[in-house]
Amino acid sequence: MRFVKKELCKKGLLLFLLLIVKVNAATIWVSLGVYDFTDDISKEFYKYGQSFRVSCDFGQISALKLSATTGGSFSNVPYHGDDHEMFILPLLLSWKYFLWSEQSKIYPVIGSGAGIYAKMDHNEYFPKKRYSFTYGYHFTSGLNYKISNRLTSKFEMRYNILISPGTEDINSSGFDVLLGIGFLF
Amino acid sequence: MNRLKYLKHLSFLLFYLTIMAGMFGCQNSSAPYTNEGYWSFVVYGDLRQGFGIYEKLAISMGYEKPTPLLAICLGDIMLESGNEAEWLKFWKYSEPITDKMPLLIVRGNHEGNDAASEWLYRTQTGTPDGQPFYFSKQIRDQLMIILDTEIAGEENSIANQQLDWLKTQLGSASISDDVSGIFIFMHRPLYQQGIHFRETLSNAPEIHEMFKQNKKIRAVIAGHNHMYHYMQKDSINYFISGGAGAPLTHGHGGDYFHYLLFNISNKNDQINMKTIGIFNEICEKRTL
Repeated sequence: MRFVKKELCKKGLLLFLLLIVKVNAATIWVSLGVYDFTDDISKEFYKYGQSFRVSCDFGQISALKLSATTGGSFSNVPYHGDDHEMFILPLLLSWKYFLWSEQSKIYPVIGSGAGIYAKMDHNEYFPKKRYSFTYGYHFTSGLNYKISNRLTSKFEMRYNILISPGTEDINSSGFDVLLGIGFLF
Repeated sequence: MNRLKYLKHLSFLLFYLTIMAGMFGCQNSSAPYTNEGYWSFVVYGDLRQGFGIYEKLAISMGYEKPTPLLAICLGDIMLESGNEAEWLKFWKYSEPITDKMPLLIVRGNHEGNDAASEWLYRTQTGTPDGQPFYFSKQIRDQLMIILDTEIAGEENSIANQQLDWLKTQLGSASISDDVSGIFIFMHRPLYQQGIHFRETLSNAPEIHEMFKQNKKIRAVIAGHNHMYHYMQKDSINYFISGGAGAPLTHGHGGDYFHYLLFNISNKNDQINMKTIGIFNEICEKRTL
């Protein structure tokens, strides 16, 4: 489980490092927060998840920017005499629109996008780990606060709508409530 | 000419295969899966507003093949007694079950025993005025006895009129050729587990002695404790199934959301029990 998590994190970070190298004037965001499930079953079973996200804003056209995001959401609940672990890995592509000028101290951001999600459930009682892959859409809104020319903080709410595959009984759609910090490269 | 003959034969063969495939295909896809060798029923308890988990379990119960002949809910459907909205939600999420089989309800302590709650309970379960909430129902050769541990003034016990009624039921079932087994359902267990370990029904020894005398009793199934538990005491099988959505009790084993599936064999009188979890996993198998 830890090995899989490590590998997934490594690959995600590698992807972002590649993006930084390729794109000029990119902002790299690191965010932490809570994943709040909206489906009744997920909410009752997983309660909530802890999220971390790494995003890269690139390719600015006027007040519009593209953004790629990865990271993970974890949940760990006692179940069946063991810890039931759940891990969601998203790979998302979004557009973001800056409602005010990026030169302002505070500026709101809205956006949306699509992506793919990998989910893993593990419990000692399962004969093997349960993996599922799906796609989904997201809508995001946030407030950015400029700390310095290169450093920005943000509060972001992202609603992830996951289209559950037939093999997945539990829908993992939910809100990401994130606090992050961005560095302009 | 030969080619024409060959084509004729080929088309006949294709036509024949199509008809046969259609016949067998239809048979496989539309005929209900039945097994005359055994029949089944499902049991679950303690939802307490955990309707998300319950919905998932109810769908699984509805998909069981062969379709169970009966579902029994061991009570604690709601969090607050007398709340009609919770009853309506319960019936909505129970549709995968109620569409396919009758659902019997055992009264739990959360359903309440004040006048208003009892009126609502009566209305929702279709219990006529003046009729008690304990009753029995025979399914094939098995007698299902539903007890009420929540009668006002007699909580946490089986006493007075109900006790007399139970004695009569067990007595007549034990001499009846039509009844080969008895299942007893109640909300509060005789012997509680988990955080209430060592707590018992106030007249548990008396009830247990009565059960011991009857050789047809297959299992005594209760809820109340939010977990799964099995124990055998003097060859009586005591089950606790309280994991249909209410917050689980951890640290005492059996802490998983589940329902019980009982398969009863017609031929050799064998009873198999499975606990089925929220991921459709079989958590425990037992032969009674």
